[in-house]
Amino acid sequence: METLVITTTNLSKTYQSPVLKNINLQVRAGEIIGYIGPNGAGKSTTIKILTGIIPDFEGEASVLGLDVRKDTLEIKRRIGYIPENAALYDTLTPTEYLQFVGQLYKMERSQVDRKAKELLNVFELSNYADTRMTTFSKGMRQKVLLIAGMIHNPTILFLDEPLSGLDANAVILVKEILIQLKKNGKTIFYSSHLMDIVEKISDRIMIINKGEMIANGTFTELNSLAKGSLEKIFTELTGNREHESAAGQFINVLEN
Amino acid sequence: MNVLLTITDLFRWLYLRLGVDYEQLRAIVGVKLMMDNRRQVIGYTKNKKEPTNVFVWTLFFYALFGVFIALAIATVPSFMLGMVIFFSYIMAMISMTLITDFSSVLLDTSDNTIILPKPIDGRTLFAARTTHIILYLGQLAIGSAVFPAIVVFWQHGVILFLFFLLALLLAVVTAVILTNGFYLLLMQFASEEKLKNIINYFQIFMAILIMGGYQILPRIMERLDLDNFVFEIQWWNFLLPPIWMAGAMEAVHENLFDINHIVLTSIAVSFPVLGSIVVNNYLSPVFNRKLGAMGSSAEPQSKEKIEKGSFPDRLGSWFTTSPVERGAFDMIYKILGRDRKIKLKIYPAFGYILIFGFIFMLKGKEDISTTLHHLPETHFHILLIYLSFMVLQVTLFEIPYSDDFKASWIYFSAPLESPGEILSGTVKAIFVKLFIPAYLVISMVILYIWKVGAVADLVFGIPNNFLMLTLLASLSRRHLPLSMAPSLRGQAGNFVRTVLTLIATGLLGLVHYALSLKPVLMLIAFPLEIGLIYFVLKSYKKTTWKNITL
Repeated sequence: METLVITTTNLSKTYQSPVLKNINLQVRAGEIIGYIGPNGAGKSTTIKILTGIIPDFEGEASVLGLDVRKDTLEIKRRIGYIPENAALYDTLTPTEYLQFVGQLYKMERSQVDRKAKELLNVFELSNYADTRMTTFSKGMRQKVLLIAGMIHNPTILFLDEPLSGLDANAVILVKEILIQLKKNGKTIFYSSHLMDIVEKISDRIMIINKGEMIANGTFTELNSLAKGSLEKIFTELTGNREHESAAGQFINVLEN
Repeated sequence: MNVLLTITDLFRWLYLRLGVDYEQLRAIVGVKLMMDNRRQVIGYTKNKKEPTNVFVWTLFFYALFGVFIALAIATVPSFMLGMVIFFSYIMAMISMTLITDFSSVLLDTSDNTIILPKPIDGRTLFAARTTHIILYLGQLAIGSAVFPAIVVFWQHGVILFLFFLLALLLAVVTAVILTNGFYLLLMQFASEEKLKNIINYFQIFMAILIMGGYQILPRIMERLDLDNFVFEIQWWNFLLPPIWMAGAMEAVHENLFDINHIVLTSIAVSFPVLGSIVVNNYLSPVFNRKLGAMGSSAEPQSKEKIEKGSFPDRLGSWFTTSPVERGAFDMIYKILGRDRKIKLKIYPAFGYILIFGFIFMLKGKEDISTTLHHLPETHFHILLIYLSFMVLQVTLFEIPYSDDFKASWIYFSAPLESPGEILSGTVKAIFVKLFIPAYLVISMVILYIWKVGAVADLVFGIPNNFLMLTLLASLSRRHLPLSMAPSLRGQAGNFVRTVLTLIATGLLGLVHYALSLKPVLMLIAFPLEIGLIYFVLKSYKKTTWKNITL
């Protein structure tokens, strides 16, 4: 029997209005899950609950067999999280920031220094390792965040729009890293708007819309619901089929 | 309708003659003025509601300051000195405003991406920038000069009044040229980062100067014999622009046309005229070119590498007891020395130490040398020992706020059982980074004046200041460092809590004073003090997530 590493039962969350409604997830070890949905669908909220950042929610959730409510700390130790906004303390250098993160995870300083140096090199940031991040581009920041989220070698990786701002080469590199991590038994929970990447790397794709799970399956399974690329399936299922007429309307206004 | 734009409309013909697209210029200036109104002035938070009559209010505030200058002109018997005070004030205000308030406008590279890609020619953009700055400074100059001009008109008649207005215009232009020249010079030799750092230190210096001037100048004025003051022109006066203007005014007022006054008048008139030509023809294109290059280079900046095992690297291990505490210590220690906005809030407090030191010294009726002579007989050094606590207090209040507050997600995603060690690491970093260096300087001053007799007090002062800091941190609301938006500043205040904290820390200072009367008691109190710190810090480290105010 395959081990389930993420499970939720009727996971719900309400702010002023409900943002998640009875989400039931079952993720197996070593899977790459593509978690997609329109803006405001509840993707980031799901990830923040599973990573222990949002503590109060309804329903049940467990990660690596641990209760998200009770064993938050142990879960945080064993997972990696890369947030949506490339927010870091940019008056620090990448090396200093990674040392700080390493200390929060109680890693050995020498281990952090070695890993930081080598990982920055992989992302072609060696020349900037000791430069303050104030003038870094979005892509450079994103690379530092990716390293920060993985430096402690987590078992499950939660990625919220991890490719934003990255150049084409870096996107291919990250894609390759995720595939190799999966081969090494890591689980990846991946939220993105980039449909082609999700289509290519995901074992299973979950589509969430207005806080509800509307599809869950392999790309082939989803294809049976609506034929075409993932982009087509997505628009079909999330009810946004009027793109063509909206674009026409836009052009019409421009030209008159 | 914006009054300033209406004024600009009056010069529409001039712009059109200069080949400027007036409609575009008006749109750019209109948006920039709107942004000025929304820009937060340091230490002053605007309401969320759009201010309606900012123009009138701005004029009112400047006019209010102008009243003091007008009083000086009216009461100081020496006409020349009155004029020197006025022109120094106007020119310093304009240069300061250009540097402190307008640096962001002058060095704003967003025009490169927002306006330059649109079909706007360089001349219109340059004219829009210049108009914007002139309108802003015009408000300042007119507001500040209203009352002094009335005094000049009242005391000296219409002719001198007209010359006064002309000199005011020349002074404004001179200040703008000199400040632009200063910027250009900096830009030639300094990188973008260094330029921003220099401006930052300048802003800090200005904050101290304003506070210092406000507190110390009236006290010095009291001690000067103004009635018998005669202004004698020295060679170095020719280097000071306010004296050019004052000299020209005196030449007209007293009909003095000796060589000194002729030279001063000639410089006063020729410098702004020739300067304008140089700025327009030579400096502005260089300035715009340099500005265009700003923000576009991806060249690595200077490196910040701290060698392993070096002194700054070891500091963290000496003062902290766990990796998490050390992580917070290292991070805060570095950011306190780097983040310009935080420095702008905190570093002026160092200047206040000096200012308050002087104020306490000038309090007596004797002259400064007599006061200094009698200092060793006083217990004034105890006060000096606790003046640096001001820096700690300001820092503790400021440390939760940062423009990078969103980066605090890391505290919540990291496996931290409690945030206590982050807080204690922060407090220790503040103490080591800011207090210790200031204390070393103060200690040297104290040892020089009070000699070895003050050593016991200096030693006891260190743990006592730290105890005050930890108590202040424990009693205040607990926030994670650099985790809150600066706009939330001031909303977390609690008056009763603040007063109680001040009383508690003040008591500790009094305890020191009492102990200093019998120094042997200090020896007994010292281990007690260390024990107290241990317990306060231990309880502070136990801060739970529930204790944190978000």
